[in-house]
Amino acid sequence: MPKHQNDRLQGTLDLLILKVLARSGPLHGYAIAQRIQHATDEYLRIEEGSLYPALHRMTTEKWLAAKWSTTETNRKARFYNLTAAGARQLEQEERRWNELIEAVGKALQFA
Amino acid sequence: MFQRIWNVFRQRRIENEIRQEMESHLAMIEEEAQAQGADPGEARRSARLRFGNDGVYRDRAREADLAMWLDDLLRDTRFAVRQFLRSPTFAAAAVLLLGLGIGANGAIFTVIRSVVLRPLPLEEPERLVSVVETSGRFQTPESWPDLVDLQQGNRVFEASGGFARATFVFRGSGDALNLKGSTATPGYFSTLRVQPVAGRLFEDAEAREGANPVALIREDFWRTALNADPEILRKPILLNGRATQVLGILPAEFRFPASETVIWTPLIPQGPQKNRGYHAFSMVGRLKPSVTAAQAQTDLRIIMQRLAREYPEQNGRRTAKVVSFQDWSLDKQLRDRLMVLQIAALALFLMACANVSSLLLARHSARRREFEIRLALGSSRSRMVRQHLTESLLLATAGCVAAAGVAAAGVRFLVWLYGDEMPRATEIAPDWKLVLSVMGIALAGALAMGLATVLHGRREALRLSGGGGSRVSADRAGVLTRKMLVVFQLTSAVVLVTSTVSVLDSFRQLLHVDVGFERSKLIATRVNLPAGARKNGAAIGRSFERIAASVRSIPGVRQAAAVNLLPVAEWGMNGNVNVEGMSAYPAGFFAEYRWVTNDYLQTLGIPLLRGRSFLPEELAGSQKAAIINQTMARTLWGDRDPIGAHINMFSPEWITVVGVARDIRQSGVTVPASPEVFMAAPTLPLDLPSWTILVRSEMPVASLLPGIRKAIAAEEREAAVDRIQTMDNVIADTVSAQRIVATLLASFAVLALLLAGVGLYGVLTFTATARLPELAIRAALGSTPRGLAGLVGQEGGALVACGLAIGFAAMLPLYPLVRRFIFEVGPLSVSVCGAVGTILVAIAVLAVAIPAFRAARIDPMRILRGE
Repeated sequence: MPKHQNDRLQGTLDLLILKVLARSGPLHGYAIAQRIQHATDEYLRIEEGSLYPALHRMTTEKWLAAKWSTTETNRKARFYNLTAAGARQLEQEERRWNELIEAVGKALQFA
Repeated sequence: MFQRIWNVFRQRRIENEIRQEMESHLAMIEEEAQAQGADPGEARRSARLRFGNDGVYRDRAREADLAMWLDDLLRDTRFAVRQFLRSPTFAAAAVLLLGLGIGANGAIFTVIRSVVLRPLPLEEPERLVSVVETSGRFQTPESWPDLVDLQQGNRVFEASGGFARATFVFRGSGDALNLKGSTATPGYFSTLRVQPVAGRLFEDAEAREGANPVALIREDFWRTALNADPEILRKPILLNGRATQVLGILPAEFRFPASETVIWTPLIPQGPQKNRGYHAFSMVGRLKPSVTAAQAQTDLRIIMQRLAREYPEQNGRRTAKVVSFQDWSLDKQLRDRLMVLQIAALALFLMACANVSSLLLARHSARRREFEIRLALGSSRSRMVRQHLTESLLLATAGCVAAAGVAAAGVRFLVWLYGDEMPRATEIAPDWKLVLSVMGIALAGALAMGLATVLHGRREALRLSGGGGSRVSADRAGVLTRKMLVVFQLTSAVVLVTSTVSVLDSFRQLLHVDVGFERSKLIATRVNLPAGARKNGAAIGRSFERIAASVRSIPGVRQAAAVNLLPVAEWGMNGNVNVEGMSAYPAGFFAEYRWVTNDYLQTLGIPLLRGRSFLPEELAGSQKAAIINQTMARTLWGDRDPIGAHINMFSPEWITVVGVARDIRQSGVTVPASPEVFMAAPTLPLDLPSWTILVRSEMPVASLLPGIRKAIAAEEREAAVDRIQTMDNVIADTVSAQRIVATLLASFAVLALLLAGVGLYGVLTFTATARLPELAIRAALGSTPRGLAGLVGQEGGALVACGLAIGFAAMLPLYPLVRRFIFEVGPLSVSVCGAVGTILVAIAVLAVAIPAFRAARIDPMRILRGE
């Protein structure tokens, strides 16, 4: 049972992180924030205050694996990678998101 | 455990990791800002802002790991200590309540465990039993012939022995000393399997008539009274005026049959003590392995049946009863009293817990703001639960420490109070297992209390997130819980106080019971003669006649007399009485015997109902006469006149009844008079050297004392004189155990009242505070101060009515229990209930009045603006 089922905002952040990591492989926190920002045309800005707690939580949930490594600019950073459990979680979250969109869309159309 | 310690180090690492990760993140932002030509410092600052509250971030990141557990514990503890320091009254009250509640229980239970529950300090104590004889509803010790028959005829004992308590006059270097001791057969020591620490035990030859006097002494007596004389086993001591050889020293913990027993001499029955009707010897036996007490009783009853057939006059209705030696040596009343105290202490403990819970709840409500803010700022729920638990655990720990002090002091107090009445007082010691289990229970209780508060808090938090969190909405569930706790406290107080008042009332009656003689202005002093120096009972009797005469001649003394057993305080010398020519003789009849000097009845103020007092020739012992009491006359003669009848007791010689005296309570204030025979002092058939001199005088005791001592010494230089007491004090001492219970119960009851009052006050003050805005609106809309006070008062009144009703209802089934356990408590009286109700209502009024008065004085504008 995923923990934050009712918490849409947090759930969305999780979904975005999982999706980004599924697309592009191991990334550090800064790069994850950058990717999300670029992908949404700067519409979603990821607050660092939420990002890192989310990354830590997802690591404890074993959705992500973290290890220290060096960046292209030769800087030490913590890289996060998707685990098998993370991939399953992504699948679920994606499905749930689509259901939500659909439901909200219907409501907006017919309500 | 290692994991935990390891985690503390890991925690450092994790924190480091988090910091490093943040650092690299910030560095990357700077790099990018530089690449775009912006101000790297500005970029870094805005990123830092976006990282948000450092604390929240760490809180959340940390929770992921159990690593912080120990660290958090320290943190929580520090925080809790700070919290308690900030509200010292609350902390002190809670610790005091818990300390008193747990401590009182600990003290009483320690005593019960040491005195009642722990096996006797003897080898295989579970196999030791005592044999008592019963005659109708009376229990008596064995007579010597019965004892011999039971010892020889039984097939159930591995060893058995007989013993009796005795007093001795010991003359060491200083004044003569009265010693409490015992006479015992050699079998007594082998049955109890005591080994002397020095010397040896009695041999059979030393326990026969005509043997040289020998004795055993207790080690601590040897050390203190004899200064640990190393020559003690080689040179004789002066005991009862005879040079007596000490054969051995028994260990200090061997305190049988009584805790004050310091010396043992061989049991050698003399004269009438050998009669089958003279019951004065107790019997102890060690059951053979695999024999039960019930089997032993069956076996011994077969012997008693045979004896009843063979000696129908003396043993007609007698049979035997086997009780465990532990039960026998323990005063059953003492055990019951301790149990009553334990129950009262438990009730007090529960009340204390209720009060602490109530305090915690109140505090929780008062700190709601703090928790709201912490939740809003992102503190996690589990963190707050931990905080709560830490606080209650800290309270419980402090309470336990306080309780340990209270218990230690309480045990000492109880030992001091019960002193001589407690058979095993010297064995009482703190018990670590007990201490640990009490602490365990207390901590578990604390966890439960903490959890209750937390669960309560959860509900509240839910309501808060629902958006309704304002100060007006009083914390309903909390108030209900606290009201229930208060009702419980009031109920307990009613039960405890009603029982206590009943006990006190009956005790007061006990003190003023009509004992049948004029007890004021009467002085009693015990005098022991060194018996060995006298040839026989007749000589002792004549000595006391002379002493009484000498005391009578002191100026200011109206009357004086001597008696071998002081009525009310001493009794138990009794036996069969035969009446010449009486055939329809009540089976199992026996009477108390007392030997008295001239003027005995006059000194006590006991009127003669018929006949006359002793004539001079009867007092001199040349002619035998007896005065009997009313009960004996009624039982044996009914309406007929007993004067002139002939009776005999322990010898075939007939004695003429010359008078009938009015009954007195000779066997204790609570015991109705039993049949009694008075005989003149010189007819004493045994060398019983311990008598009491009674003096009636208008003068104060202190001014009479030197004269009495001088008068006694003038007649008997070797006599040992005990302290001189008024008869009032003697009688009060006979009920000292009752007094102790009554005093302790009274102090518990006062505490209970206090607790109930404080609880009531607390909950009303709290609800009144919570209702302040409502009251303010009412005041603003025109409610009078009287009306406002009435609102608060109504609430309190309902609680008090509830508590009293449940309490008195609970008394109906509970009261019979109280009566069963405590001495002559009368039926529950309306006046007692009325008194208790009045006391409780008075306290309740006080507890209600303060918050009500405050409610009446509120300034509506100030409160409504503050809202």
